[in-house]
Amino acid sequence: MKTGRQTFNKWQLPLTLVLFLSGLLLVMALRSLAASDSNPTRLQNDNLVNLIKTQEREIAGIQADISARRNLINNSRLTSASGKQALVSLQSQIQQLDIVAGYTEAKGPGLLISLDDNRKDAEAAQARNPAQFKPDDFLIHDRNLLYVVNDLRAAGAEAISVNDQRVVASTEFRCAGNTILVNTTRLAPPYIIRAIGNQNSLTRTLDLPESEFNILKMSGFPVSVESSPALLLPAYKGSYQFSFATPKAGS
Amino acid sequence: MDSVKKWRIPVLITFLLLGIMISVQFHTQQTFLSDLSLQKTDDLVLILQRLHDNRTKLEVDLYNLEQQQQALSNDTSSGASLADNLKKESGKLQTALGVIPVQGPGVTVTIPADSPIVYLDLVDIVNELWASQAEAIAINDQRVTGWTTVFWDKQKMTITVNGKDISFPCTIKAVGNPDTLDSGLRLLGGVLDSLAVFKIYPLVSRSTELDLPAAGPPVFRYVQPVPNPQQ
Repeated sequence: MKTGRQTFNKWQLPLTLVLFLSGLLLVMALRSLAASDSNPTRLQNDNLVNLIKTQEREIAGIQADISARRNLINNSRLTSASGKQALVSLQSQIQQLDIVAGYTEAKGPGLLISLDDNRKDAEAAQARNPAQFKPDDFLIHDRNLLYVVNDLRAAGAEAISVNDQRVVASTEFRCAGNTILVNTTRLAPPYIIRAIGNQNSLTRTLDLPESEFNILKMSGFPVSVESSPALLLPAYKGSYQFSFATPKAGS
Repeated sequence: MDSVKKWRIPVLITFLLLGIMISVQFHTQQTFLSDLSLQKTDDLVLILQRLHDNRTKLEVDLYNLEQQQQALSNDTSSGASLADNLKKESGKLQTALGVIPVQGPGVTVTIPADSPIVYLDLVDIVNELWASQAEAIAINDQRVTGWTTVFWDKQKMTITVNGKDISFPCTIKAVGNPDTLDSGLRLLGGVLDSLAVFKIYPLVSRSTELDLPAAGPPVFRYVQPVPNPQQ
């Protein structure tokens, strides 16, 4: 009788612990299931998602129209300007500005950097301690992209792109929930950053212990960098518009 | 020995179930993170708003280009209107690139002298101002452009912008809609909230007239343009 009681006690504690944990997990799983299926905001969200997708499709159409028209105008300006010295120099000045403004694709030597969410460690961390698991710790955020881009600028990068978005002066890096917006366009991981510039200088900056790339690497994110003699960067498809800023008189 | 075996099987089964549940839970979480329709409604509204703003701007661009096209096809012989057209385009590009001084309404963010600020705080503030549709930005007397460097100089132990030491109080001026810029900085959990955690309290004031200096032209040696397709 006494020995039977002792063995009963021995497995009672671990089993209670395990059952308690399973209960906790079951509640979490059911809760997220409920959130995804019977949530009353789900229907409203579906409508919003449809609106977002329609808007994105139509914006892509307008952007294509704009770049086609810009080409046509540039060509007919060239024809109209030919022979008139003042106009020719103005036209070639605009062509130079277009390049810096990112209105043309860019090519050159530089680095190709890849940043991805840390799914492997996320899975392990959740298995180890599901109650304290914070998925945010294992995702690439808007600030991570912003800081890598800032490091590249500091290293003298002449042109930068993230996925299919050319980074210009006014490009913003913004989070909306778990979505990163760059040039108001949604980006998804992996994030491929292309930077044209002096390869030695760019590599030296990324190798600094305090560089954002290095911090991500040390934190276990799957990141990589490779040199390329000929990168091709997309053109900027956004808008430059000024409703408040005016060139200062007399300049 | 017998009693050991007795509890082994139920514990084994429970652990097995636990394992399955953890992996199921993880996959639910993953789909939850990537599925747009499972994001918070507020975030979706924000994305939609930004898309709408962007679209409005692009439509104005398109309209302007249509006008230009018409002007070009109407009087290809008249050099005067073409020159006007080209000058306007050139001015707009120079404003965008920050290579000419500009003026306009906006906000001034002043960071007091004794703030424990790091260079990334400046990068955050500038990023928030661009996200709030700033049209031109300057840190102290340095115009912020696509080739502006904001960095910590280890030798001099100071924050530098374009290689120049930043003196305090540091002022960041942004031309744009003062209301949009101000509310962008004050977003809940936004850049001012993050700085307050480190006891940094920048002063934000609206101005009706700001003067921003020009940046020097970029010296690019590696980038080459890919010409647009001829049509």
